[in-house]
Amino acid sequence: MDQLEIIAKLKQGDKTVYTEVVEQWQHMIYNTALSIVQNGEDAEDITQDVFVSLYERIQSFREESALSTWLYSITVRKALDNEKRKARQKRGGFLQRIFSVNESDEPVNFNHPGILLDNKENATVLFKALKKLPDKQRVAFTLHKMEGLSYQQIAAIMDTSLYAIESLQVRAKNNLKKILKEYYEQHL
Amino acid sequence: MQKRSIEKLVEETLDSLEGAKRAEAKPFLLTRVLAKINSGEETANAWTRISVFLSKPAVALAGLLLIILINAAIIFSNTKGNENIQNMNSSKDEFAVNVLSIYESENQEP
Repeated sequence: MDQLEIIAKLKQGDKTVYTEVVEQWQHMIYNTALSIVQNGEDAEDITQDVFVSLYERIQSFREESALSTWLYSITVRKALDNEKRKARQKRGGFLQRIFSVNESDEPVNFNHPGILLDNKENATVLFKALKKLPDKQRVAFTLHKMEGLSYQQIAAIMDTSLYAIESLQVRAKNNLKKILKEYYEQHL
Repeated sequence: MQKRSIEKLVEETLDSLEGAKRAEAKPFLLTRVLAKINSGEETANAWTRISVFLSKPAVALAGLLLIILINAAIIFSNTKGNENIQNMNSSKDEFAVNVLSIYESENQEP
């Protein structure tokens, strides 16, 4: 079944096709969300929300891009919204801050389950550094490294030009180098 | 020497995502997604039913009458309450006069 057929069936409310789409893309959505939010429970919630959005908003899908691109862009938006909401909650948790003992603003260590065993320690440091990047740089870098997407695909997902993505990648790498250098200078 | 080792570490860290496998969602995701969709539809249906019921002219009129009656009852009870307060104040004054008069009479005694 080609994409046009899948979209047509989804628009007709075909539950079998919907089930197939969820089964086919659930890990892709989950991995993307997990790599951005760096929290398993949040990534699970985002994945569910993405598929609920697919069900509710498929009628508004204009078929200008691939279905996977559309799903990626919903995932990225929901993941960033989730982070903003959490940051707001953290800022608003005044009483919680008063009564908590030595609560640091440093990101919590995150271990991605798909990282090779030899790289686990370094990857944890890298994920921590990624949290310090601006959103666009972080998303562009993460989609390329964790989902293996081309710059062209990332440009479609982030609705920007190929040149902008190339620039984001370069800036992300340079910023990460600076952050990691500072980190290792303090921790070695 | 240390500078070179830091640069090497930075490079290694940047390359640490190479060969990473895709993380997999927990089993039965579809079941949870379908449950979420159904609960959303049920909530939406419940709200639709409530709004249809409330927009019926008879229900809207009855609601309006009920609000007017509640307001009238509150105003009426407040007026009655004021009268009670006035009565209480007058009896308090009487009591205060009596007390003063007792003290006065006690003080007058040798």
